[in-house]
Amino acid sequence: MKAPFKLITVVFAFGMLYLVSACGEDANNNKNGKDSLNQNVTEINDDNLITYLIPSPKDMFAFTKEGNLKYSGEVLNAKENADKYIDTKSQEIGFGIYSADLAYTAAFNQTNTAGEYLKVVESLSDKIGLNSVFTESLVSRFKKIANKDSLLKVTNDTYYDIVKFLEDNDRNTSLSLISVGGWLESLYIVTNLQNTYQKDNDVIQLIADQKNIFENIILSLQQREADPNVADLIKELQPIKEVYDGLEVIKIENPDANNTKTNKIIVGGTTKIVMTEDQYTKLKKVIADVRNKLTGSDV
Amino acid sequence: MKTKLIYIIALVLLFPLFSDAQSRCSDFFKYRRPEAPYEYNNQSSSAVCVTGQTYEFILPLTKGKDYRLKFYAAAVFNNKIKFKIIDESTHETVLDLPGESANREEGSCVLADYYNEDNGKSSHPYFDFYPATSTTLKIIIEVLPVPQAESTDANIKRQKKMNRGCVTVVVLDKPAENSSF
Repeated sequence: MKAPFKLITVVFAFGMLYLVSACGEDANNNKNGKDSLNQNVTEINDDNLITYLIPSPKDMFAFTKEGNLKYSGEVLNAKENADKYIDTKSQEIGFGIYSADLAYTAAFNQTNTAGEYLKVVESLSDKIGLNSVFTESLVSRFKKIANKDSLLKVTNDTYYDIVKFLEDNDRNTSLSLISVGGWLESLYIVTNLQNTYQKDNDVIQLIADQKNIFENIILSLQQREADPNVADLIKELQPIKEVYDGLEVIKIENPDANNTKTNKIIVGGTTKIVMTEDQYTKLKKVIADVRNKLTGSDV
Repeated sequence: MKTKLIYIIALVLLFPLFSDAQSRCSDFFKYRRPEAPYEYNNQSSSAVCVTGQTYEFILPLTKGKDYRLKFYAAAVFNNKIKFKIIDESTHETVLDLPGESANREEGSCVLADYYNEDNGKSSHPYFDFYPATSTTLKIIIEVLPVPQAESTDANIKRQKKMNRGCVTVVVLDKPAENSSF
């Protein structure tokens, strides 16, 4: 009888472990209970039936690089600011911000600066429990980088690994905060590189088009609003929201619109987001204000 | 006899561990990879879903890029899933297909592989989107309910059967061929 009882004990222990893990959640999400549910139950929570997707920083820089904007190291968040991030919220947002800086330096093939920012990102990753992503092999890949494409590829792969890790560990709040940091820094960099407003300019249009992405960011954050860190962040983003809310969406004529074949589908083309010079100036200012507050650059 | 009973209890206790492992999404990460000339886009996402429920993924698309979408779902759903994609700028439905169709022809369904005449191989369905202006797609995924067995005894209330598993939306992109940049 002893062996079966041993088995039962082991099984019971596994069962308890399972139950504990099922009730567990990342340290950042467990403040309200609502968002701290893991995969066992998230699917029946009505708040989680909608997933708002947010692009990574490299998407923005892919355009700006080809848009003939010049690289400037002055727009990067100072490496020393990382020491100011002592709470989880600032560390996770800061992680997103430095990830965007890393993607920016990689997109413009600034290998030395990218290496320095990789160290900052690695250091912050340790503080927010992402150290397992920064393995020896990844750091070694960075050291062996020979050309701009591989630098960009390694940076993208790293971001991809982070997203996978956070998703796999149900750290959706962390993912949101990192995404916001990354998006904000990308926009800060682009609005600084595109110093002046020009009508019918592709980069200005790209910045105006961020209205759609910003709406997704806010809606995604609102799903986790019960978390005080997220609620604070929504308030901090309010000035940006006011500018984007004011952008007009106009109807346009596009002969290609709705030209849909089997699996090749043309979308959009009937509306366009319009931003005036005054709105661009305001947006640029509020982006800088919010970004500087979050990075600690204004203190 | 007692030992047998204990082993059965052990199996019952362990079962949730195995079923939970099946419904987690990490196994689906293998589908989230670049396919030249398309690069992997980090807006790709996975969610654990249950039968009888409808899910939405809100995907912003930027002008200047061409996008490719692919979908994968856990075998437990048996491809009994409906997919609908709405272009939020026009409010038009640009895709409305089942997970699997009877003929399994290219463009007739979203999940079941089809025979690709170009290369003579089995291929997974994909859908290419060309944003004429930046827009947002609303991807609606309806996981159909499991047919419920009818009880012959009115006094017996059967437990509603539900399946759970992962559904993955893979987003790929490449610079648009007619990009003005």
